Amino acid sequence: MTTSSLRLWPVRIVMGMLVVAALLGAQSVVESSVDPYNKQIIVLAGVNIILAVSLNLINGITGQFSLGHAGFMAIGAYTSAAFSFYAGPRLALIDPIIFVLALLIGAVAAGIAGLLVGLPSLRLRGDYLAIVTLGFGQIIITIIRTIREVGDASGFTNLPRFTTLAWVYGAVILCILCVRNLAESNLGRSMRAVRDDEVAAEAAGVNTTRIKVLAFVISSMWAGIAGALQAHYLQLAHPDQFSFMQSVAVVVMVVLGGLGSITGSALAAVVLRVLEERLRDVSWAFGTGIALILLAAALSLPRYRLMMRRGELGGVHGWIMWLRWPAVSAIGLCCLFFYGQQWMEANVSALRYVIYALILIVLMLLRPQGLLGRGEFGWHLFRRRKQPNEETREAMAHTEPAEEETAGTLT
Amino acid sequence: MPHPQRAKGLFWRLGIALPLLAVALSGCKQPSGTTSGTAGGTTGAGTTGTGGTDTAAAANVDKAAPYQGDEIVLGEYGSLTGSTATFGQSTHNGIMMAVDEANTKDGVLGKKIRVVTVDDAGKTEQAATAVLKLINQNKVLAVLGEVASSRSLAAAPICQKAGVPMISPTSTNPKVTQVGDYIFRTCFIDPFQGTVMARFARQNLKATKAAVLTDVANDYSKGLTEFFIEEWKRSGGEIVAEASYSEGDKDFRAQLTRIKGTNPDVIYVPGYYTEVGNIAVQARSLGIKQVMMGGDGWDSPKLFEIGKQAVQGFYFSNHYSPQSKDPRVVAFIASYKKRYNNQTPDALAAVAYDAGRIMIDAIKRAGNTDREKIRDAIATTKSFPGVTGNISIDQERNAVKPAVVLQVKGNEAVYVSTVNP
Amino acid sequence: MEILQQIVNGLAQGSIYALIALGYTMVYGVLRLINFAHGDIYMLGAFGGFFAANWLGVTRRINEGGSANLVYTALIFLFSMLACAVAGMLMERLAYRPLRQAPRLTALITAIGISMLLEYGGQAVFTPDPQSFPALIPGTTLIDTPTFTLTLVQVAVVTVALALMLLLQFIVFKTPMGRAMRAVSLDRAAASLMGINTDVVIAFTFALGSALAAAAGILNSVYQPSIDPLMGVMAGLKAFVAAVLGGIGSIPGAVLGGLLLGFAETLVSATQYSQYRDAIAFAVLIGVLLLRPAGLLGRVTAEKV
Repeated sequence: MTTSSLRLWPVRIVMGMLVVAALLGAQSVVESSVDPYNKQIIVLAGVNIILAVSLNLINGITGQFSLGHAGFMAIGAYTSAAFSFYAGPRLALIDPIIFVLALLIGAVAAGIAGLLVGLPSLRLRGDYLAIVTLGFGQIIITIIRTIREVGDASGFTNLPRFTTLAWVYGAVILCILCVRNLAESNLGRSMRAVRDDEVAAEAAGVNTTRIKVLAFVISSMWAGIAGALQAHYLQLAHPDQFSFMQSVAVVVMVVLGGLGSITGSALAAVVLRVLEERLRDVSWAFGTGIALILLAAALSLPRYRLMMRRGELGGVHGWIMWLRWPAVSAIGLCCLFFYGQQWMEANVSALRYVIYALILIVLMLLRPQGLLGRGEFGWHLFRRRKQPNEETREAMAHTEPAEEETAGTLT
Repeated sequence: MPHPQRAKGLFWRLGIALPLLAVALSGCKQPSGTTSGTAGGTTGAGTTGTGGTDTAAAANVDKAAPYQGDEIVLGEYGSLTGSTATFGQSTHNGIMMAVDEANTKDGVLGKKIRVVTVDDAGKTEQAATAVLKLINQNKVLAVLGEVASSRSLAAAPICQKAGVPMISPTSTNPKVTQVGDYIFRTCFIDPFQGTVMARFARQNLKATKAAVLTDVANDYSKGLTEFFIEEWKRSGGEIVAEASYSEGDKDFRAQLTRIKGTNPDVIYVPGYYTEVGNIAVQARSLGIKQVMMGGDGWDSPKLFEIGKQAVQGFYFSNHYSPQSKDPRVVAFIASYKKRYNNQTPDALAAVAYDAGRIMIDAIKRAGNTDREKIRDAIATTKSFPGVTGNISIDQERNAVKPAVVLQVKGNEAVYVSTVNP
Repeated sequence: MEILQQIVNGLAQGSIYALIALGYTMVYGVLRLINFAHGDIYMLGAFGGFFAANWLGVTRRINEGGSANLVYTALIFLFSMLACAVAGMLMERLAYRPLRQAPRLTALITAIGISMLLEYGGQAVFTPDPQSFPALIPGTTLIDTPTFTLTLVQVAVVTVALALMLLLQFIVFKTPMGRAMRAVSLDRAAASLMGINTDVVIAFTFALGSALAAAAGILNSVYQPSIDPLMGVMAGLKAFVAAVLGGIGSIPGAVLGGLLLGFAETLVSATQYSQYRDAIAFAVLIGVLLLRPAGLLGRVTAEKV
């Protein structure tokens, strides 16, 4: 174990350098070919990924329910911003070093806050823990609003712009690596043991408090970094950015992606951010609607096929039954689009979050286990396995959910 | 099923796939010249070896391209949804009215004006995104917007860097126009309005003891409070109680009970009509008979609707008197009512209407669509005949106009006096 | 004497919180689900009352200086409670029942989705402007001394809230349906084996909780006469906190939690530290939970292995 990991170091260093080079390359391409609007969406999507992946460590992998992620984000954002605003100009250092220091300060401050909240409150279970973390977030916001030095209710403005695409996605990669490695290590196994059965884990010798606090601190640190990155990109931090609703939004990403699935969280973070932005256009809202209907039809096909096979539904009748809801909703959507387009366009801003909420509900109803369940997205999905014959494929279709549950755990 | 190989390449796949996905999904829609998002991302991953060196060469496209088009496109960003949606929609109504009126008179520079409105849902980060969209995707000539100072502050640096003139109708925080020479406003700033009410109460009402009830989550309210207290103490008055609530509260009885106990002469409540009506009703039910005072956030028919008997006799400072016999005001109110379902305009709509008209006037005076010239034209606005008074823009890009003090009588706010800056 | 006034203030506010918290706690009891959309049902209740008062012509009469007739007031309450009960059942049927076998957090996310749908849909349908709620109960002052005032509205809010809580207590503990509800909350599978139709029981729980929220919405709007589509956000959050404070799943706990939260907020607001109100209220809550991890009246269940 040790020797092989020692031998891996040179490879890792080279790989790390390649990643940095790739990031800088990607950044220069994005800088020159993507307008600032899309760039901002990409950057903020990156911030969302960090938030979702780090919260997944608590909510998905360790199985605790935290509703205060925005609070830790706020601490990271404000401490790092205060550092680079007040101390930054006085230090004779180049910007990237100041930024790294600011990020570290944000991470440490958020980590300490995580420790302070985590230590006493982790004897609480489930929803009680959720309330304590929620309350903590509210306390942070209330206090920030009264501190004049960080702009109280009008926000902390005129921050330097340190964050770039490369910084954000560098942090995304590190965050994913950190969470993945943790999840695959011994500690990760303990975390999943805590999630699956706390009492059994304790009986098997897992120090559950230590494990939970650890997950909490690491997750908070990443939330702090995400906050710091966002503050130094938008060049401002405002108490409203870290409200209870922001915490809820991160929980939504984690559950939508699939509890415990790192790639799932990242995917959901990107999808939700882009959706929120793209639903401003009527045509996009329409396209998303059609895509959802297709998805619904595809996901419900196996059930109707099974019913047809069992003879519960006749052939043509079965097909009609399968397509009735998708067809009706598609026709409705088309009518709305062709005859009500003007009305839609006039009201699209008022309807944006209505559509967003509907999509959220439909997605959860269609995929209760989240977009990726507990599985991960990767090349292995594309690698063609040995062609299974018709019968086994059918059998697999039937056992699919069960398989997902068991296969779900992270390696 | 779980296989070590599967996880090994995970971060590689993610590292490349996620930015790619983000780029692809956000689907850059600019018409020409640039490669599509997906292609850009792929090249990024492909040029791994050499890409690192030429970051400096990457042009940061912050400066907006010169304006072109057959019509004049103005951008508006505001909170059309979310907790401050009612303010955003009033502002939107005012701007749309100004633009449609200009369009019936053949637009400006011989072109029709079109407004692109982007919702920021009352969130600061979305305000920044919204303005980026307006400038980069909709290629607007100039930007109008935000009611709330915090959101204007998020968007102003972007407009300043892009060199796109921005007029905020009602952001009162002094910091907004300090961002740069492209940022203007058409309302009072907090120091002026806070002082006005303090002076009025000291001189006209002969009050010596004041209590203040502030919305701590709202920088407008905090700003007014600060300058009110400063002026009040400077002129020898006494502040007997400072109480606070936060946006979204419905119950104010605890704070009001405390204020009642300190027995002030007047109570200053620099909030918005969404809460003030409630505060007044609750104060009345607690037996508080002192007069309350506020700022332009009070001016809305909703105040009388919700406050009814409880708000009678209260004073607030405003940009104009809706009862004024000035033909401009009469015409504005009549056509607003006609257009919007017999609603009476609130102060936000009136100021937004003026902001829209000042923008159009400046474009007209600039003579072409050069943004720098439009900026200069806005900066040199002198006694523009607006609904909310004769507006001049000063050195700090703030509107200079007199404030009026109004008193609530029945379902109307009656003119009491004018205070010049 | 000021403290007496503050106690009355806190009591009235607290009983409204308690009414909303009851809905949270009942749904949690039978489904182990935090129904995030409950605060928005409360908003719907207020708007239901608002429209009912308009249709019945009560608003017009009050605006012309008259007062509401007791029968009409009762009708408005009934209409709004019924409408919200139906809305609650629909919500359960469409968004929660299909997910009953799914992980708990999944249903939580659809709850958040429903909540957003109601809030933003409300803004699109009712407009985001605040509306004036008619004074269904006249603002007569019962006691009026310089330091203490008691209005009919305050008395009515507390009385109606109390009456509804007693009614709930009766339904839960004295009727067959109540017994079924308790059985389902104890063990759904076992209850189902005993011949209880759990679907009906759960739907009934939603209807009951939503009706209480609607009543709370109207009471609150009479007491604080401005309503808007986002009024349920803060109220829902506070009531959720109250339910957890009292021990989620416990009916007396929700009442106690609601009252305590009302008092705590009022007392902090009454000092010069009112700007720290939320911070102090939540700090107290956290303190209580650290001492009693299952809330004030919640049962600490020892987990069996």
